[in-house]
Amino acid sequence: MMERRCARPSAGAPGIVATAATRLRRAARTYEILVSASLRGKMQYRLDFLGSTLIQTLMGADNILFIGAVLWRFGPVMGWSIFDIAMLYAVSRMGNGVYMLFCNELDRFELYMVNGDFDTLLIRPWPTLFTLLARGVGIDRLAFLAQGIAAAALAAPRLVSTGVIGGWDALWLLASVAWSALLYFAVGLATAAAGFWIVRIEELQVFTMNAPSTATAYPLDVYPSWLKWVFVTLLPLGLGCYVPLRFILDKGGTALNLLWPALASPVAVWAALKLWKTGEAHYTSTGT
Amino acid sequence: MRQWPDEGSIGAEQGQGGSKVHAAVRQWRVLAGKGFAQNLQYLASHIVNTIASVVFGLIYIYVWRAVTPESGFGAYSSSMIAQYICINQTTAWFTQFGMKIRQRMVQSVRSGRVAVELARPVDFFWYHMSFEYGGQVYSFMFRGLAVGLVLSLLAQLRLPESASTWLGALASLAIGGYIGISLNYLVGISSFWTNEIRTLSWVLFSLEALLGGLSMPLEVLPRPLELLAKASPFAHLAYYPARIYLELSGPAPILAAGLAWAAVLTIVARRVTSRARRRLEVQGR
Repeated sequence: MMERRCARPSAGAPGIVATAATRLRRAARTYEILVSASLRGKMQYRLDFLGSTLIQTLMGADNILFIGAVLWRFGPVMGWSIFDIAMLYAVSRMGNGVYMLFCNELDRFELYMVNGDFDTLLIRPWPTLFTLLARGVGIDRLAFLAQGIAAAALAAPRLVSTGVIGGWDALWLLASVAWSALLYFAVGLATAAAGFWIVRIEELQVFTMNAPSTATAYPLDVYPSWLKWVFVTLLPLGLGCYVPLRFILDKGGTALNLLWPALASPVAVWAALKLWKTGEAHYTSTGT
Repeated sequence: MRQWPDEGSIGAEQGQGGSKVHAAVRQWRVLAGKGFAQNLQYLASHIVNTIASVVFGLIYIYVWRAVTPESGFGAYSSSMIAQYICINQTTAWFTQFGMKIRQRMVQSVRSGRVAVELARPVDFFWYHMSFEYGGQVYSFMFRGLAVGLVLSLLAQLRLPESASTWLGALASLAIGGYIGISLNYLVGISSFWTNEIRTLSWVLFSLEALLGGLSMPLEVLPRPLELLAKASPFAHLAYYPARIYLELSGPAPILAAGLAWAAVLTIVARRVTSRARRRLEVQGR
């Protein structure tokens, strides 16, 4: 209650800053408590967790194995070598992995809509999205991140030794992972928000998340211009990985390739948040 | 609205139906019909998923167009691979995609409903197989064919002229569907022991994708892996039906191998079911 009083405008600018800092600390603490509880639950069966992560990492790499088999047989695709494509895959996969780690509950949001569990989030003293994300960290989805890191570790030495990347490029690659993760979050959040109207979103997720995620593991140069346009605008997962990597890996483009995702990612997140807020206002419980 | 016989009537029909074969066929028809009808409830979401499947097909067709040399490779020309992808994106809706059997079984075990299912006067494996088969026929008719129609415009899909090719491809597909459901059944029934089947589902999905030839002809794989894939049941899910349709392989040896795998998987599934029945611990409400 004391902290809420501090939020009054009369408290002045320093007061507002102090209040914001306090609220942020409280939010971080709450997030930490909720996430710890979720992790403790998931780590009850440690061996099962380690085994399943290992298996998922190895078996879920079928996409890169397909790319590897094709490139091994036919050579570079439109100027992209196997190492270039491995790095593209790594950035896309790591972006997806970060999203899965922190936003696992968005991926299974349909259950909240179908079972009426979203009701329980509405009565908490925090924004629903915050409470939802804090409910479960996708530590059992670490396989995505592991696959991305493994692909990057395989590709990076060759790309460095051939002079394709060097200097600041490592930083730009990390930034690309961050933009990619933000774009995954934006698309995932917008898709989940659609659940406020249509309830069942699992099939929609295949269209908005899985299809572009698969498509952007390849250089977008292989697609016709209309499909390429779809993957950098309407379903913009290609904007976070293909666009910057085209410039970083010397496949074309200008320094603007690094700027576009930096500008577009926050805008996409903002638009998705607005959609979430609008959808939340239209929410009708399905009951429990 | 059409009324389907209630579940209890299936056993009653079995007793009154005269021959056992007649009763088994009738049981299959009723359960498969139910599986088909249940899927009709989700038409809207299936339309969205169908669009996604078209996009997946487009992705693979364009990737293959970009990588295949002018002269093609092996028996495959560039156009042939586009047709191969088109066929597989269509038939996979029967042999791989959209199967609910694993989730249905794991939820049944978790809720304890499985005790009722096991007590029914219907063979447990046959019950799930029939129900899922009907669902997959629905998937193929309402989702697979729509995907195939759209992709065929891009891939310029050729229709075989020979009736024996059509029969061979359809028979191979029917066997592939049976094999696909059996594999999913084995993953589903593991929930009697583990209660959590996500990892095994991942393994199955990856093996189907890699060894089934869904998105690439198996000849692309390194030779030892190619031979392993061709000898595995997974190749009957996509690779062999497509090869027969494209008249790249004769149907007889493929159908014989497919039937052998179907028999082996049936025996394994029934043995595992028998053990699971003894292992059962009823949980939930």
